[in-house]
Amino acid sequence: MTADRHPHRPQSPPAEAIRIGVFICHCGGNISDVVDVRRVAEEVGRLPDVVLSTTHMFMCSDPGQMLIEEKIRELGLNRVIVAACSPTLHQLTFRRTLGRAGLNQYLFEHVNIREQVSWVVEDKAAATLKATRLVRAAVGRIRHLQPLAKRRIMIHPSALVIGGGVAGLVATRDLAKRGMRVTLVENTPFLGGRMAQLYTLFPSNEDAKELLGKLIAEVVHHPLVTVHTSAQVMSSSGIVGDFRTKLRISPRGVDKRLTQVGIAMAACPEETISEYNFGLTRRKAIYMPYPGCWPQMPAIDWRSCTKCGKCQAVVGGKGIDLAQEPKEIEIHSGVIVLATGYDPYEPMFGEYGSGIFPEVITLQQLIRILDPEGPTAGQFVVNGRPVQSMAFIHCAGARQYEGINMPQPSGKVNDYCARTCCTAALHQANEIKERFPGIEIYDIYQDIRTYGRGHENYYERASERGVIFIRFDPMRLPKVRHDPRGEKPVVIMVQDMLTNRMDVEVPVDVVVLATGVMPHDISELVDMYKCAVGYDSFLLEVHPKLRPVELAVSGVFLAGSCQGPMDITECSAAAAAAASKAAALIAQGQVEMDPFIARVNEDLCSGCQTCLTVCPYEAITRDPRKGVAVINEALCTGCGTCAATCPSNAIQQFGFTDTQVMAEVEMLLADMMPEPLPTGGSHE
Amino acid sequence: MSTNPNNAAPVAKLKIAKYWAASCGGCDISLLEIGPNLLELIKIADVVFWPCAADFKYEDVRNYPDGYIDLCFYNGGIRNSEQEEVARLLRRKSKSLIAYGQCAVDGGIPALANLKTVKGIFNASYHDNPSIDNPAGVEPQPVTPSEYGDLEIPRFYPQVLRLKDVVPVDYEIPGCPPQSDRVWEAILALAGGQVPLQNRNVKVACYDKAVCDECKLEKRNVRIKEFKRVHTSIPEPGWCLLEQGYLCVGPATRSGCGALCPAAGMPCEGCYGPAGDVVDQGTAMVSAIASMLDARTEEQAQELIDQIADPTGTFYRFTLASSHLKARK
Repeated sequence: MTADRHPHRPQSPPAEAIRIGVFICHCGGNISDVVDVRRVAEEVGRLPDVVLSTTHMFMCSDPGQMLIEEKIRELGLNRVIVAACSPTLHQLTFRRTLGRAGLNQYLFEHVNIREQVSWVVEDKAAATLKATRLVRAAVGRIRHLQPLAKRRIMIHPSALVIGGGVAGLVATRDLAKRGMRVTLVENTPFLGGRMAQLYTLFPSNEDAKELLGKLIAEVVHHPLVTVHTSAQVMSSSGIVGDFRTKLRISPRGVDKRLTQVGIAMAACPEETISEYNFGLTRRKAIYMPYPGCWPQMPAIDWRSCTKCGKCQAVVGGKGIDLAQEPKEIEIHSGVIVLATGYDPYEPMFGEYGSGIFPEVITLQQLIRILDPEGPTAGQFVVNGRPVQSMAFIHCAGARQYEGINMPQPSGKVNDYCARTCCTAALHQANEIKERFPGIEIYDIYQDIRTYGRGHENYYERASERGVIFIRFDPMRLPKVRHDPRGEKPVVIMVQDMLTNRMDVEVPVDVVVLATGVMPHDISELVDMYKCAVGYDSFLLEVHPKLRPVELAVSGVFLAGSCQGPMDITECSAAAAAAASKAAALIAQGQVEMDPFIARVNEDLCSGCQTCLTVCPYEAITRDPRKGVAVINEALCTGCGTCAATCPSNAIQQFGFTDTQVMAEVEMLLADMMPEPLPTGGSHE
Repeated sequence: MSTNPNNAAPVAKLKIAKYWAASCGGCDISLLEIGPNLLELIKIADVVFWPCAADFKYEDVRNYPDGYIDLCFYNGGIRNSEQEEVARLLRRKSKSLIAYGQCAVDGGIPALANLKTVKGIFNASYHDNPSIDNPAGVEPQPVTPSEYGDLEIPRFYPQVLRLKDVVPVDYEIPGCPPQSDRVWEAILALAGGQVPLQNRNVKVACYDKAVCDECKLEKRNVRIKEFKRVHTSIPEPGWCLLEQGYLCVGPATRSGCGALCPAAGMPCEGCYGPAGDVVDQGTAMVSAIASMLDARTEEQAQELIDQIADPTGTFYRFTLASSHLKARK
């Protein structure tokens, strides 16, 4: 037996009469040149409960806001509609205006008649009609609005930094220096990221590993920093101020008691390619990528380890444990910094002879070869052959063109500029000219983009030192072929734009592809944190100028080359910016959130659990005793998915209840409603 | 209060009536299904009109004073002028008019014809159908002149209406048919005065919550990978049918039936209409299903949706007259 106890039936209007004020903005002429704003004001003014309907040249200006404040006080308005630009621009402005006038700021409706009307509708009559309908719909909706209060969430004074490369390290250091507790998570067993694979850095020619060592020391010795290597982010829940992140930490297999590192590594019979040397060398299953790595002890690569126990046996079992199990831990943090970095572009088979000729290598491999600690101890030897002539080919995997270059598995070509490779290639050209003056260097480029401070010097010096520049047409890519004369292993065939498109053949000992950068594959994190991703697959900030290191997800920040191609200077700057934004947020102590969360009506919930399946934030659970859904208000972001999904109308979202939305729709369509049902017969 | 003419002593007995309009007769059976309680019903009430079970004429009803009938159960939707005329008559003669069964409440199965125009229905019924032999193309005419004067039959309406579309309704008993235990409880509550005889569209003999509340099948919180039908595969016992891909409308359907169908391995068809204060059962269910599809792309979603046979008939099987879709014009 169900009597009339429907909690979501149209709420009885509050005791006080509804008094709506409608304020319509000319926006200079942005709106009023197309929309007859006075006519809109007139029409809407005739609707019931509308006490005032007026216009102003600039509603967002001080006089405009003053007008609203005055009228609220003078006429006792208790609902305010502003029809103006996009709510993303000035909704907050007008909410604050209401607040100053002593009115609850959620008794406000913002109607967009600029972007959605005057800027897109050419016909004046049609634009005026559309604006009238939209404002009328707001009148329908605003009658049912109730005062709401902001939610306050305490911010846990700690940060989680994901990624242990230079950006993650800088962000961690800066946050720790500001007194924040920081957990740094690195996916691989060693800190340092891509920076550890470099030799000297432009524009200062500093030693990369030395600089990195200093930075790592600052981070790992800071009392507020906890570092987890070999750690994978498994899942994450929560919102700004209160993130809970589950990490799965793979065992290292090695601890500090292992002193005879070299003996243990030598005993290992399993070999695999060295990621650190980009496949130029092989390493053991128990390995250290380079002597100065951190932590200063090997790790076991469980994919290649067969647990044969030889390393353990040779050191008497001390410090090696092959039976360790992965463990899961949960990190509680107020903010999250993503510093997941990039991967160098991997040339496809056949691209500029890659994979066909061992003499075709990448810029990253060249850097490893030139590193005195590298696979050839700094000797410029490729494929067993000392190099006497070489060529760079720029824009390998960058600034590509559809139909010319082979697309990625996603179907897209990398049409963006990878930014760092021009300077990096010229930096290496200078390095080679300095150390091996006799080597001939050809630089085959699309455009030289040495954009950064001090970068252009590398181009000038390379020119002075006799590097020969050849400019190719991106529509006619250079070709790498076997040298038919047999003098050199390969020959590059290129049409030189600088010499009136002359066809040039360049026989060389080695071709170095100045490969671009691609974002590191973090699709799981993208899903987890609902990250916005740009057309180039790099993470997308909220606004490139106004909010350059923030993701749209509140409390998640971007540091470094996960956001786009950057050199170390830029990475560090971005990471420092992310750290200071994150620290500023933590320093607030709490965040205010809009109150538009969803709530379950237990009298209507049948426990069908559809909402549990759809909630992207895992904010809904089932109360097993009552058999109903329960929404965790701290986790609810107010996305509205559950409210839209609930087939029983048992979930309503504050600010967007069915009553409010239906009233809005009905008023929107008021002049287009179908005729009432025909009764009486037709039956012709 | 009334006097039973068959008894010498005056007793406080209710007068009840039942009428069938655009419906199948299942609602009449469902009232009989209260079984032994029929004897209890006879103790407390006299039947004064029930074409299915007793020989009363419209003329008898016309002769009753207004408000003579205490409880009038009207089953079936309004398809023609006779049904509307009787609805208005019974409304006048009854203290409490109860829309009984899904056809009277939300249009029920007959309202699926609202997807067709009158012309389309007549075409299927009298012309373009393999079982029809009508070379002269005869159609029923509302008025046929004869030597005895004009002969009239009820006029066919352009769409099936709900009872409440033509007269005010006090209570609604949903279901196709209503579950008899719940019906008996509702009759006792009305007869016993626990609820007033006059009210406005209040649903009785059912609950606010959806069928899942009464359903015992286990939820595993998985998304729908493919849609299946009961004649092509056998559901795994004990597991939510919808999650298995059988289009069970239970999450969007009012409970009261006791979740009989899912318990027997048959998906809920939605015969109690929308749950809670939902108006449009079909969109409620479509929203729920849309969110549950195991699809990452629009193409994958489309592929899944294409597996749904007869979406309107599935999601609006019993409620088309109450839906936002209204009727074909």
